[in-house]
Amino acid sequence: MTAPAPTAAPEATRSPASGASPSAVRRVRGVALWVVAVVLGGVLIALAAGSSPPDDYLHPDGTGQGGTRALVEVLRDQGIDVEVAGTAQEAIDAAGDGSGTTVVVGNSSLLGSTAARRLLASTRGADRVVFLDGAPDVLPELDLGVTATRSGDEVSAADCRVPWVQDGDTVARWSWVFGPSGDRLPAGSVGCYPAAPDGPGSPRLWAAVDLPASPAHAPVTLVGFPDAATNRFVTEADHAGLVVRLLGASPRLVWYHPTADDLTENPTPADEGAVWPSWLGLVVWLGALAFLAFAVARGRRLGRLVPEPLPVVVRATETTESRAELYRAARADARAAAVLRHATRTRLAARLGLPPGGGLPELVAAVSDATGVPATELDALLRDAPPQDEAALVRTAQQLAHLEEKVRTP
Amino acid sequence: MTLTTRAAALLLLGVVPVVLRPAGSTLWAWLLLWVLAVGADLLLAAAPGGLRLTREGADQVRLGERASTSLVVENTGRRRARGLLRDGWPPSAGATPARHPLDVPPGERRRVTTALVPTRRGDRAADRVTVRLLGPLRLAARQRSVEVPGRLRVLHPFPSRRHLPSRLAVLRQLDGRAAVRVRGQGTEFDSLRDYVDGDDVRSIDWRATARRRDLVVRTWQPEQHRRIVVVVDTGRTSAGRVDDAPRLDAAMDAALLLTALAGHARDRVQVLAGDRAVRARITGSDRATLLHDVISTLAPVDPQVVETDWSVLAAEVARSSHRSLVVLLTPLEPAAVEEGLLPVLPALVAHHRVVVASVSDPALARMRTARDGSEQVWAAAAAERTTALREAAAGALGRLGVDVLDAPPDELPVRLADHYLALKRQGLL
Repeated sequence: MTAPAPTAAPEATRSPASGASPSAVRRVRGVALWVVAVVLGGVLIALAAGSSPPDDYLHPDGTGQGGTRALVEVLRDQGIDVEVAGTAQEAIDAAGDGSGTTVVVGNSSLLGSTAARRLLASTRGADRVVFLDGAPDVLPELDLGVTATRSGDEVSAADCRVPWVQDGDTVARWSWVFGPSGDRLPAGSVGCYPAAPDGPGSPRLWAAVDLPASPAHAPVTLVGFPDAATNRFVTEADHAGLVVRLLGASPRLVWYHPTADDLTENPTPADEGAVWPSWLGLVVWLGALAFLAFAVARGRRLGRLVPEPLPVVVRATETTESRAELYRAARADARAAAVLRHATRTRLAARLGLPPGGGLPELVAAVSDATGVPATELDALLRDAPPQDEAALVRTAQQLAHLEEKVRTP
Repeated sequence: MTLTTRAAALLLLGVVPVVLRPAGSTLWAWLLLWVLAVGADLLLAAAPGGLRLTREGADQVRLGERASTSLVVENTGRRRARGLLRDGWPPSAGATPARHPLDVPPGERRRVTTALVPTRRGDRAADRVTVRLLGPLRLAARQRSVEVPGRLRVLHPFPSRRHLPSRLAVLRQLDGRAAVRVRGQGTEFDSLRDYVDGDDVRSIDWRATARRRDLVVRTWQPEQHRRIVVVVDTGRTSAGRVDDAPRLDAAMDAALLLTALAGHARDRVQVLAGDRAVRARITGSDRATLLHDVISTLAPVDPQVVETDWSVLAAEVARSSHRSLVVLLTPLEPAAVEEGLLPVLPALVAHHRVVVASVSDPALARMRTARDGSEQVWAAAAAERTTALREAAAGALGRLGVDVLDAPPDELPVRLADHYLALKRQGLL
């Protein structure tokens, strides 16, 4: 229970008849302000989140050490139209019929095999499809006849004749080397930057492989040195020349950077069987049924609830407490002081054997005789006078109690 | 019917065959097996209808004491009845245990006892008895609820009965049976007997002494067969709680002590309880069972949230034209007294001696004297105001010639009993 603020009281009483009370208007205004604040905050957060450059490895807009923004800017300066695609569908749409277009797959960590197959099948008309980081995870499922292995060995000089490699171009860092999945590479393939085979009799390995066009796909280039395209290492060795010649061969470049959305858009059907045991679905069903049976068993009551007619519970002091609350809410200092004084006067008169309706002077004299307190002090205490404030009321009440105590035990 | 948790566990056990042979058919086969097992268990369980239930045990108990009620379960079926039994009672009957295990072979009977420790005065009716009988595999059970009528009357604890012996001693002093004899108003001639040392010489009957050669004294006894009407107010003001018990309970306590005392004094006691209507009426025709009748009849009377209609109660008192002591047990609530009680009092006072006994609230005195801080001072002012109003109401009653007693719950019965004894001593009945 709180008393209304004194300033609000006249406002509330002024317009009781009008439909919308001031408090309702204030509430609506408050809600509106909150809504505006939330919307503004959301917009600001969205702007802040959208404006930060991505720091994915090999992201075409990435300005960090692993990004490829520098390379993309160089290509754009060369007059090449670079488009960025986040999903396979976007990449296919951007490539169109594929003529005069190179499609490059940047970071393949989120590239699913379904998406990769769709891309290859739909870009048959493209000039070239480049897997810039070799796409080692999905390579075995693309039936290109090539597999990737991680390499720490030295690779020697280029030693090949393809348009994007010039004699003497060197590479400083590489991650993957490629070998044939069978005995040899598909016919017409060209390997560059040979590495040492795993052992005698093993097939040869290359850090980059050019595959010719086939009915299933456009010419494909697998690159095992993705670091060469990053902002950090593009200026080392002959990296810049190699990647610019590779990606700048056509007037249009579609840079496909697979995202998580791409993975959900192109699910890999083979995944499911591998993760869950085949009996899991049945066990879940069985568990649900058992839970249902358990719920029925536990939920069945042993007989109905028994109603209890409850007695009335009213504290006898409730009216008195409410009266105190009313006094306090109305700040009835004068009234409370008068009540307390009257009660004390009545009790003192009865105690000292005075008639109940006697005057104040007689009472003051009698009390003064009994306690030795000066009459003027008693008169000030017992005479009805409104106290100045609440503190004065409390003081008066305590003095009255003290006086009664004194009369009772002289 | 109902399932048991064991049935759920059995269903879950199907995980083993499903993992060993992960196919939908395994699941269906297991479910079929489970349904068959549960169905068979249900068919083999004893029928609850074959149990014959009869109730035995206490039908009344004093509040705060312990009673017990028993169900005799007779199995008239052909199968062994195993399972659970619940004797349903309202929460305030304090029934323990809530459920009993049951195992009754065919043709035999077993007794199931529920302890009752009631927490409130009044009548408590037994609800249904529920029996759940399990099958032999304990997978499923058959359940049924039947009415087995039973009622426990929880009586007023009558805590003031401990004051009865001391008040009876006072009564015996008034009576001629004790060593001290009183002669005067309020006594009537009892008999003549020989003088013994210690008798008051003023009570010697000289005329009788002259007829005989020995000294003869007269003995006196207090007035007997006076009519006493105790009216217990059960209206809204009696519902207020004082120290966790309604005022009505304290008023009943006082009424019971007065009834017991007046019964011993061979006065005719009549007890009324009511608000807008008379809820209970006991006329003490039989002195031996008077107190028990009053306790038992008042037990189910609860406060009603209605304004007491004193004209109804006064009309009930005025049925007899004999001069009586009328004790009104009602709280001194100024508004209720001024509007309800005062108008009917003059007619009552004209014919009877009227006493108003009120249960005061000790919390009010605590509120009055606590004066630390503004919160308590506001409360103190309100309490002083309430006290002043109560005193004004008491004063108004006093001016009408009514005796007013206002005391806390534990003191009121004694005060009322002492007042009665004082009236009796002065012959004012």
